[in-house]
Amino acid sequence: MLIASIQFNLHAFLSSFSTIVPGLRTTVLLAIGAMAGGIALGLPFALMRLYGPRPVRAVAAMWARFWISTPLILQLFWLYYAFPEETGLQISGYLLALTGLSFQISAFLSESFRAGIGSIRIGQWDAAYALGMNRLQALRYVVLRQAVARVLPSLANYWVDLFKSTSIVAVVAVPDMTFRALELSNENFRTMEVFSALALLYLALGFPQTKMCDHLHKRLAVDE
Amino acid sequence: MLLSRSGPTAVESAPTPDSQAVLVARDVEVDFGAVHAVRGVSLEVRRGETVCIIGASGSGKSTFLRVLNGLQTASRGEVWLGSLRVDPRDRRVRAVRQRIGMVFQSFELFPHLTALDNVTLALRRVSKWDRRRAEEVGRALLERVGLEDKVGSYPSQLSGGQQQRVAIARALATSPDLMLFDEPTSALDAEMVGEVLAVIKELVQEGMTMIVVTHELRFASEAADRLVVFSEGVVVEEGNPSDVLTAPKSEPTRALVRHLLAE
Repeated sequence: MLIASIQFNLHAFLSSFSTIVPGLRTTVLLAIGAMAGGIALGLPFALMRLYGPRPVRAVAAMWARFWISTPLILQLFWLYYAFPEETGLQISGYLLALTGLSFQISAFLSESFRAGIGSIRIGQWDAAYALGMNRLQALRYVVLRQAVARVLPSLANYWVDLFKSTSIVAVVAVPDMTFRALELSNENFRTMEVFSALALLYLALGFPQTKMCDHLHKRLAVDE
Repeated sequence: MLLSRSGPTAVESAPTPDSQAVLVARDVEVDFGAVHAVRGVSLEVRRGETVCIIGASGSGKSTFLRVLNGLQTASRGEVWLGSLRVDPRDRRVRAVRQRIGMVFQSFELFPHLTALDNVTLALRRVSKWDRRRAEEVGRALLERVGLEDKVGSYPSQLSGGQQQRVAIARALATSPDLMLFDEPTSALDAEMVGEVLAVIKELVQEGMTMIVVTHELRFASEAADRLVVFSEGVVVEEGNPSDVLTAPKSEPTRALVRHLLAE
C-alpha cells in the first residue's frame, strides 16, 4: 500500500541531473585536493611519530587523535563559524572545507603510513644501510615504496570514503552536488526524485573507483 | 691473528696504511641490557684471507659480524677498516659500509626491485652513477653469479639459491674491500646450498677478503684459511680449520662440532 502511494515523477528525476551535475567539479576537486593535502600532511606526521624526538611524537599523536576522535561536521562548523569569528579572517567556505577534509584524512593516512612503514622488516633497513644509504635514502628507495604498496588497500578505502564525505560540505554552503540537490529539493519538493538522482550519481562515480583501486592494488602488490 | 679477551697480545693503535690487515677489531663487547652478547672479541683479517666463524645459536657471532660493518654499535672496543674507524655514530660510517659487502641469512633483497635494480641500487643512489653505467656493472655481476638470464626477474620469481646469489652480486657491486656473510645458506633448502657455496668459493679463489659465519663445516674446512669458534660471546678456539675440526681443544668446540656433524 505504501509503495503504491509513492508517485515517482520520472521527468523530475531526469531533470534533477542538469542541476546536480555541475556540482561534480566541486566534489571531484575537493576529493582530489583533500587527498593530496592529506598525503602531504599524513606522511610527515607518520614519520614524526615514528622517528621524531619524544615531544614531536607527542604532537603528531595528538594531531591524529584530535581529527580522528571528533566528528567531521563539528570540525567543519568550527572552521567555518568559530575560527573566522575569533580570528577575523575571511576565508572562503570552499577553502575551509578543503582544509577540514585534508586535516581529517591526514590523521587517518598518518596512522596507515605509520603501520605500513612499521611493518617493513628491520632487515630491509639493515640491507639498505649496508649498501651505504642514510636513513632518508633507505626510507625513500627501499622502505616507503614497499610501505605504500602495503597500505594501498586502506588508502583506496579512504579515497572512496573521502569522495562520499565531501557531501558534508553542503552544510557550510559549498556548492557541491549534495548542496545543489538540497537547494533543488527545497525549490520543487521532489525529494525522492532529487535524492535518487544524487544517489545514482554517487553510485556511478564510486563504483568504478573501487574497481580501479582493486586494480591498482593488484598491480602494485609486493610479493616477498 | 685472533685474540680472546685473555689473549697474550693486543693491537695498540690503528693499523698503519701499509698494514696487511684489512680489518682490525679490538676487544669488542656488545651488551643488550644485562645480556652480554659479545665479550671482548678481537680479530684481525689480512687481505685475501677467508675467516669462517662457527658457533651455536646465540653465541654472538652474528652480532659480532654486525658490529664489523657498523650495523650494531659496540658497547666497548673498536673496529677499523684499514685506516677508517667503523662507528655507527659517525656519519662517515656510510662510506665505510660501501667498502664492506654484507650478505644476510634471509637475503634481504628489495622485493619491489628487479634483480638488476637490486644490484645497481647502491651504485645509482649512493654512488650517483648514471643508470647505463651502473647496469653494465650490474649485468656483469649477475653473469658472474650465473644469473645473466634473470636480470628482469623480481625476487619473488627466483628460488632461494638464486635470491642469495643476487644478494651476493649486490654486495659486490661497490667493489668492497671485505665481504661479510651471515649464515648465507641457513635459510636454503639442501639442494640450493651447493650453488651458493660454489659462488662463495669462487670469490675465495679470486682472493676476496671474507668473513663467513656458517654452519657448513665442510665448506669451512675447504675454503677457510682460519676457523674461529664462538661460545657464549667469546672466542673459545681459533686456528687452521682442519686442526680445529679434527682435534678441538675446548669442550664447547667439541660439543659444537659433534652437534653440527650430527645435523
